[in-house]
Amino acid sequence: MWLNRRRTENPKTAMLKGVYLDNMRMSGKLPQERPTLLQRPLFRKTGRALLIVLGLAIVSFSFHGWSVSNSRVHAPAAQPAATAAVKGLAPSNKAMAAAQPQTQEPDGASVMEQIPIWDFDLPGDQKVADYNLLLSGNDHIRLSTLFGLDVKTIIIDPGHGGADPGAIGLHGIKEKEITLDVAQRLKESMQKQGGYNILLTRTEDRTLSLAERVAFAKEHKADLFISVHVNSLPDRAVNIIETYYFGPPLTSDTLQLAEQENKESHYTIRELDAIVQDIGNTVKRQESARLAASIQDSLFRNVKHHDAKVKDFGIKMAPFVVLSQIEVPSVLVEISCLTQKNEEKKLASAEYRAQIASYIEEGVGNYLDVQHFKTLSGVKQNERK
Amino acid sequence: MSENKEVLNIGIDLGTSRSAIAASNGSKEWVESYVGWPKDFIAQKVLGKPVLFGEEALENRLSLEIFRPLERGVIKDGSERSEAAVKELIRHLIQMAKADNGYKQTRAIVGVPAESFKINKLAIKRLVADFADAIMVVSEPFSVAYGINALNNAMIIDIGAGTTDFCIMHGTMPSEVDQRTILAAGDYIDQQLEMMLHERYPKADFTPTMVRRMKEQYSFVGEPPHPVMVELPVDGKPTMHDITKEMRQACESILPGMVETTLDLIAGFDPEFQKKVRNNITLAGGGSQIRGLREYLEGALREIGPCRVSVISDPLFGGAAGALALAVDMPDEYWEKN
Repeated sequence: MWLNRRRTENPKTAMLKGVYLDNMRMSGKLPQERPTLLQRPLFRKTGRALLIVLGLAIVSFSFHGWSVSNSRVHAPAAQPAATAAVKGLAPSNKAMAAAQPQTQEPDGASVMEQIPIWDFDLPGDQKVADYNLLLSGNDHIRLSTLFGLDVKTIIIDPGHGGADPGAIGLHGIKEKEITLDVAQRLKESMQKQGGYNILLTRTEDRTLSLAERVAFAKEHKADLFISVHVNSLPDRAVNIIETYYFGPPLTSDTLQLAEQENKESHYTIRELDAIVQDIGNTVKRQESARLAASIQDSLFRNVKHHDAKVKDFGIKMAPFVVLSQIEVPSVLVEISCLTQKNEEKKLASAEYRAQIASYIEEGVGNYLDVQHFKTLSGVKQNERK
Repeated sequence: MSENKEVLNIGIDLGTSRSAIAASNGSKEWVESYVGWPKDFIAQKVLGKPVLFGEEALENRLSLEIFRPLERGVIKDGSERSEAAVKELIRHLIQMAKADNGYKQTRAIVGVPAESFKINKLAIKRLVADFADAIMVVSEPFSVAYGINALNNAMIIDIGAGTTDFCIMHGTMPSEVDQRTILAAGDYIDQQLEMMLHERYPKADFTPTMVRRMKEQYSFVGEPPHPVMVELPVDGKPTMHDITKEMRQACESILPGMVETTLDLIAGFDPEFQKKVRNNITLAGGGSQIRGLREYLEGALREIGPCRVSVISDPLFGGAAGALALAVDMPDEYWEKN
């Protein structure tokens, strides 16, 4: 790496070019450098998964032979292994348990029930089985895979902005600055992967109501919605990471946070309660929970390398207005805790913010990889456009 | 390179405390980063100006709605009023520097803290756009390094009011991993000093501006060169106070972060060249004037080996002069495309 840096070019010429390119990039006049196909993490992961699936198919074929290749009788045998293989890429076991409500121990450690996905016998006719499962309301089945839902547009929502600074650190760093910067980095990085339309709800420091954020997501036909926030815990000397998806609150703390984040929404408690009660969108809830778990898993696992004391508060359901009104998988991720002096110091570093963005990207990538491959038949349904 | 007489190149250092400009016509000007608008038409009539800057604004602050619009080297809050104040400040700096207004084109490079958010850089570019035909922004410590030709195996520590910026140079454009910004800087010393003085001398009457001036006059780390005695009013009566201990403690409060960051950046550098970097550290910005700081850093860094720290010769204009050097050297085609 250091050898690469020692250029033979005149240092001043290289620096002037660097300043120019940096400014062009900043103004959006220069496309981001695109990594080669092999450099793309999603490609690498996808490639690995394909190899695993291919290997499993060969094994399966050797047992069952061509005569059964068109039937699905073999699926239950092959799928657990395939699922486990994909799990290796994706957000560990937590993602698989994500659709379940989470309980919280007094010290904040999260406890999740492990739920096997493939814990049922598939009948011979796949289509009938799929719809039977749908009608039975079995949460263990991913409805998105039944319907072959696709992800094209991802909306990243930097929390707060303009007149609403969000949390403020001891040294004056504002949540709105961090969220925008991380969101911009996340967008730039995800765009490099190609294949998705990545949009930000705000690209500058301006006030944006929750209703406007929701309207933006709807207008641009979002397929995924990720709201980025930074926690504030002035009374507790702890750094926590937690990710929310929409649902009824399980703890008073969650409700309190939801009230805080919803204060600009102008919804009455009754209206909000009605929204909560009215949630019947199982696909959204399932996928939101899995997306939340994937982001939470990646973020916590990676941040743990920087901060051994960071607490994993897991994924939680909470009635955030911004999540409730969006009809696609949507999560709100609290990436750090600005009221912790050390965290504020770290968040002031561009390098750390870039790392946080890359961890979220990894989480989203893992979620999309699973989405891409995991189907009831074990056959890839959702070709990424 | 741009030797065209029809072009005025300028370098601007927008600082939380002071802002400076250096231009290719030889002008070098600075102003304290205060902007004040008369509170009402009577104040405007008395003051005779629609807007006041720097020292003049501070002296007349009772008649003004006064702003220090930069915070940590960027526009405070992103509010319209702060943006308007920064715009006035830039206008004022450019007017001060443009002795001859007959230039067909003005090209500006503006220094911003090393780890400014992209949004802040864009906001600064947008504001300068009203006064210059082409604008680029660069990190402040990088512009300092460029100005003093510390381009390879060197480290700049630029201690401003709002931020202390670090930049390690290795013969090419520094990337994000080569730069750091910490918030322990001049304003932090002021806050600490003010707090300690209130605690020790609860009856003494002083303002943040007075504290800042005391720091600028007497700041030191390590052993005091002499007792620091200042005159502060107590119940309206001028009284001498010994603030030696408080001054030392407040100034030394920024040292742990500074040493830690310096060590961290050096440790991340190519091991073959770490020794060279250790022996090529330059302190810049107003904070470089703290007495004993250079010696303290040399002592603190000695744990990793011998090192040499120097202080920039012109701390007030180091950033602006470096930005000007970049503007002058920047090829025309880069300006045209920007």
